[in-house]
Amino acid sequence: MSCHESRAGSTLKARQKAIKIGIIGNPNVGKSVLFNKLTKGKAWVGNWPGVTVEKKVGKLTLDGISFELVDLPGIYGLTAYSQDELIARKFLLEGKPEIVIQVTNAINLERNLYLTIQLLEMGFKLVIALNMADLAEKEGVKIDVDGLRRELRTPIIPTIAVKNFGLNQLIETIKEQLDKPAPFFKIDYGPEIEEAIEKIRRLIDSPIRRLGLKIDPRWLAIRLLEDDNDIVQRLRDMGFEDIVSEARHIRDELQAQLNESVEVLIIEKRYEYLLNLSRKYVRRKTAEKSLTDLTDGLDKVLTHPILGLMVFVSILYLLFKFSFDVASSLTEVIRVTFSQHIHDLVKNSLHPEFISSLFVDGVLNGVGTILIFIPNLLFLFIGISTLEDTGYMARVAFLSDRLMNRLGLSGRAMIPLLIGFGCNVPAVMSTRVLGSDRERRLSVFMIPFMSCSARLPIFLLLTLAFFRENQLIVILSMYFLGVFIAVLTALLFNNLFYRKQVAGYVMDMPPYLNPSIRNILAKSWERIRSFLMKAGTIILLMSVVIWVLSVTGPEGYIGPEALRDVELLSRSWIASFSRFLEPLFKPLNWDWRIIASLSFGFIAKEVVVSSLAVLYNVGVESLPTVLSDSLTPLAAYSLMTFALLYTPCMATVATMRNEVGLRYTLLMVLYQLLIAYTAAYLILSIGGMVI
Amino acid sequence: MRGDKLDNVLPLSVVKEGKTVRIVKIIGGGGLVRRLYEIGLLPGVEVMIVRNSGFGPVIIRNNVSGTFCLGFGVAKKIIVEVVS
Amino acid sequence: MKTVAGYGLIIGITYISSTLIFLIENMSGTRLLIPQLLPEDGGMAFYFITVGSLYGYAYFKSREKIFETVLLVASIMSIAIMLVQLLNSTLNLMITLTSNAWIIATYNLSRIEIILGLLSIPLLLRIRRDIYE
Repeated sequence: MSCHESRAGSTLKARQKAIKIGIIGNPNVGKSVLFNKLTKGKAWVGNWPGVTVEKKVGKLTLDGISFELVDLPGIYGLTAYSQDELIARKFLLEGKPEIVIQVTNAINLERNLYLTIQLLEMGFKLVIALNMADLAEKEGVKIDVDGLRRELRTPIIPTIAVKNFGLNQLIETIKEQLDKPAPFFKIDYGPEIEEAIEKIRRLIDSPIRRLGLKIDPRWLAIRLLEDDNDIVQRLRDMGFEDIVSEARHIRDELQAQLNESVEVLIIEKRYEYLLNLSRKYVRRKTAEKSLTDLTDGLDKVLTHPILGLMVFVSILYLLFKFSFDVASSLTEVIRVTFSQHIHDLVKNSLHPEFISSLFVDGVLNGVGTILIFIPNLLFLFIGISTLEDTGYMARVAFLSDRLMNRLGLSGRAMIPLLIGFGCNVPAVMSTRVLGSDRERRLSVFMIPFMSCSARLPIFLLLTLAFFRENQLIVILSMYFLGVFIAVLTALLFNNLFYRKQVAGYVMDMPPYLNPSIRNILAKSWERIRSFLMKAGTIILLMSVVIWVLSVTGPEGYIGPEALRDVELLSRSWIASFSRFLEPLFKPLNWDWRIIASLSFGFIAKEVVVSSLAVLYNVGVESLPTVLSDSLTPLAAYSLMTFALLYTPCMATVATMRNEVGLRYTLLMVLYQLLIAYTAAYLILSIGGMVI
Repeated sequence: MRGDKLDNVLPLSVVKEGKTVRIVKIIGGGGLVRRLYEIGLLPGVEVMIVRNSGFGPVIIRNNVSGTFCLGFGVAKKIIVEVVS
Repeated sequence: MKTVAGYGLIIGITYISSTLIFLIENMSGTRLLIPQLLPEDGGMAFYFITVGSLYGYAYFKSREKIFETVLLVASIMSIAIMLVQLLNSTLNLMITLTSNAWIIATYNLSRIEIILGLLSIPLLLRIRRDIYE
């Protein structure tokens, strides 16, 4: 990518490629809002080379110059401890942005400046957006922008991204900066450390120059003194083992001489420097009615041990009502439009029957399955984004921390698990906010056991047929069984893979803010689009595959009637496949029709009931009667258990693949099948002994 | 902790709500120390305890760092002295 | 301030009594009140209890600083459930444009959480003014 870049002497107009700009900043500084405003929503999600973490890229064209803006994850420093920091640094080192915009929060500028210092040390051309300027003023924070600008030799633009304030000036400044050289920036780390830095710098200076790398040698030297694992690894990969060990030697000597950890001393020096900046250029006076006071007051209620929990449970109820009750009428519209109008339209306009059935029963069914998710997902995402933007989510994490700690998770993992009761797909997607890979995987493993709304119809049908008297209790027992298995899974996997680690974490508690509707909609739309692009394609593909397997069989093509006629369907591949599996499910006493409908349930659990109806050749309304003739209540309960615990649906599997990778997804699918089978079998045999 | 002989030195996790403390020392691995340092929680810095139930996470605040929630495990490793 | 707190307390007591009647009805299996004045389900009953408790808590804390924020949370929650219900019935109405849809809509609009939500709006406006100005 970078080989054709010729920086020297190129005029703006002559540049062919888009100018790459990275947007970076601490969490909760309004980075995404600024990104969305600058790109005017024209952004897409791309994948990082090498890692499966998404980055957001947006385009901005000004006076014929095109810019490519990359939204980086919210981070505090570039030390590369969390996945987010590694991603950001990988982009800075390999993506070679020409300019970096750092979005800062004017209320706690000092904490933001730590990242600024690191970026300047790396030798980047930086433009600082001093965001939330209005809130800072309200808080009584006064910043001498000109003074700070001179001291850092870096442009600083006060902005209020949500109100579009300062954005034009920001863009103008970016243009001005293009042809200016990067500023010279240096912190004096004191004589001993400086001497060591100089020694290492001399070691690496000539190899860097020889290879033509655009890395600041002084920065590299500091990183080596800080014992940065990622940098050490990179140098080793390039064959500089001798430099690495020599630098280690210098560092050990320095450590012995100072009798203290060098990396801690370096950070202390940086803070000393920026606290000095803060003394010179930041004035604070206590505001009368400040945001901090409001936030504190709200926190007294919202993190209260009793009232806080009550509010939390209530808000959860409201969230679910909003995303499932309210959205259900829209889902109904989509379902009706799809299953009747569009189906008929396509059916009547396409010939021959083979083609029309492929479109109607294969493709359209798939599209329908995807679309049916949309209202629920959209409403859920709007609800969650609202809670996120107000700052409430951080409090939820606080409230549930103790509980989640027992499972080796932090409070933040509570949110994805709760969403799982609605739908597993957004639940898996929302694990992204979690800090460590370990925590993400553990919660992704737990989510499928949270009984989602699609499993409810199966429970309703079977309880109606077998447990008419205590329907509610039996259904509730399913939900509790799911939670129980999820907890066991977390404990098991944490013991097995992670030796009972507990999540030690540090989490920013943002002030409570009024959410911006535009930002909420933009965020929700982005999440929906991500679902459509990733899970959508897989669902579509699988629907077509299942269609093909239903209308064809060992004897060849059967015809689309098979989907409606059990006699014909019993000659299809699906039937052969299910019959093939029959011996495996012999201990559970299931015939091929149940196996087949459960296999259909892999596309979406909603399908189980309707395919049972097709396979038993009756309407859904008379299905309970038919089923109660062919199954015992115990067998029905064990079937419900299996339906609860086995692989949730294709959409979830597809989403899991995106979030934790193929290997873990396959492991999880196998694990779920095993658990489901074992649980169903245990219930059948133990129940049989008791009764 | 054993090395510190001062009476008013104690882990952050046991300090009552509303108190202001000065960080004396952070025990533990490099990763944790570095993370806390990066957000401005380093020895000598004063913070206010906003919320602490005594057995869960602790919420702290100061002007430089803003408001942070520290997991119980983390709060135990921050040794502080009470200022007021 | 005492008037504001008292006004909130009345709303709070309404929430709590509605829930209590709902619980009594469910446990005894009798019918005491028209369903519009009771929570729809257990979840909403819990929601009512929470909002009711918040209004009550605010009343008892009306001399302290925390009073305003408790009332802020209570009125926001009160209005939030109203908005969700309004959206719900609007969407239902738009989709099932049949003759009896209007009856259902009127029924929904006279529900207790809508009334109490509306009554909480002046409270929110008042508190907002106190907090932000």
